[in-house]
Amino acid sequence: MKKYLMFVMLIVFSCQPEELMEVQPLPQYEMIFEESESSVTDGQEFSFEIVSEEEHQLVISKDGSVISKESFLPTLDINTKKIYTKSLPTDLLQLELINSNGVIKSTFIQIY
Amino acid sequence: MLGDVNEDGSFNFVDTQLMLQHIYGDTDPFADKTFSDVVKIFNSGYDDWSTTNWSNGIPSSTSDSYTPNSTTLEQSKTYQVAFMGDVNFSHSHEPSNLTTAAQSMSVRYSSAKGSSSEEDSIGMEINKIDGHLQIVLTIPSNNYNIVGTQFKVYYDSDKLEYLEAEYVSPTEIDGYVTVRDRYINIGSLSQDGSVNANQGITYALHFKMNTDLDSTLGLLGLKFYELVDGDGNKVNLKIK
Repeated sequence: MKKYLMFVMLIVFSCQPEELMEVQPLPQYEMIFEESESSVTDGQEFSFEIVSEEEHQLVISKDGSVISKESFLPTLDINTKKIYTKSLPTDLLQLELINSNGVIKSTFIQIY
Repeated sequence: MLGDVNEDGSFNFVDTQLMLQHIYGDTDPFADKTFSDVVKIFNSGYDDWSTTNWSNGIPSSTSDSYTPNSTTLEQSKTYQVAFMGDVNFSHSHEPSNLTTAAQSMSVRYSSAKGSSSEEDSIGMEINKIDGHLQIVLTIPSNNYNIVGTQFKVYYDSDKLEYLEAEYVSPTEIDGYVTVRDRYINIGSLSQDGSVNANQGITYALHFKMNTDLDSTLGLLGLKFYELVDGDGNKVNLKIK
């Protein structure tokens, strides 16, 4: 009888639903200034780290002449922005992050 | 002669406008032409024409006949070949009587002027204000005697709607703006070169954002610009 009871208990506990631990995925950032060159598409998000809250500029240029830019007030740590490419020339362009001290980060972006 | 692209016997504003349209891809004055329509083969006279008598010597045919002398085994024949619209003769025979002033367009680099760096650049600001995006281009006071400017500003027509242009100049140099589906041409032109932009000019283009976007980078792009002084020289200033 005791053996039978043990067997029943084993079946009951083995049929309990497993507790699944939900793992929150870590956000994925495209840290564009960590690459020397990146291909970008219209509406693509990219991220970069900011250490001061003063106004910054993202500047796209070719041969030292500005094609497009955006001024913004960042938040500390990781900032994510989008780039739109329909009005940009299909070329290898320079992307710079600038604050009052000058250029703080720079990379090249290929527009197709 | 090569500038008379509509072949009406005179070179004027209509021809230059057609060539600009060709360059900027708006319409192509040569769209219905074949190679033989735009190439001209000259047997003689090409190097002798002046600005007043050139229209009398345009060949009406794109072919030429030559009857070799049957008694001379080795013979040579020289033709001058030129293409309509090739006004700098980059692909055409350059006339030997071309005057220096008409031969080339020189580029004057800003560093040669010894001015400060701020004076040597054109300012660009792109600002987002209350659901609107504006681009402001500022030519500072200078001494370049600029009589013609053109800025070709592309915009993302899916996300922006063009509203209006503003033009501020202390002098009476004429401003212009032409609106296309995906870009705006804005600039100034003194037709006779009597008025320049030495006191500076400010251009502003205003757009409405169709949706509120946090990022605006790349929605506006200055793909082309040009500045020309009273002598026809290109003034090379960077956009900053």
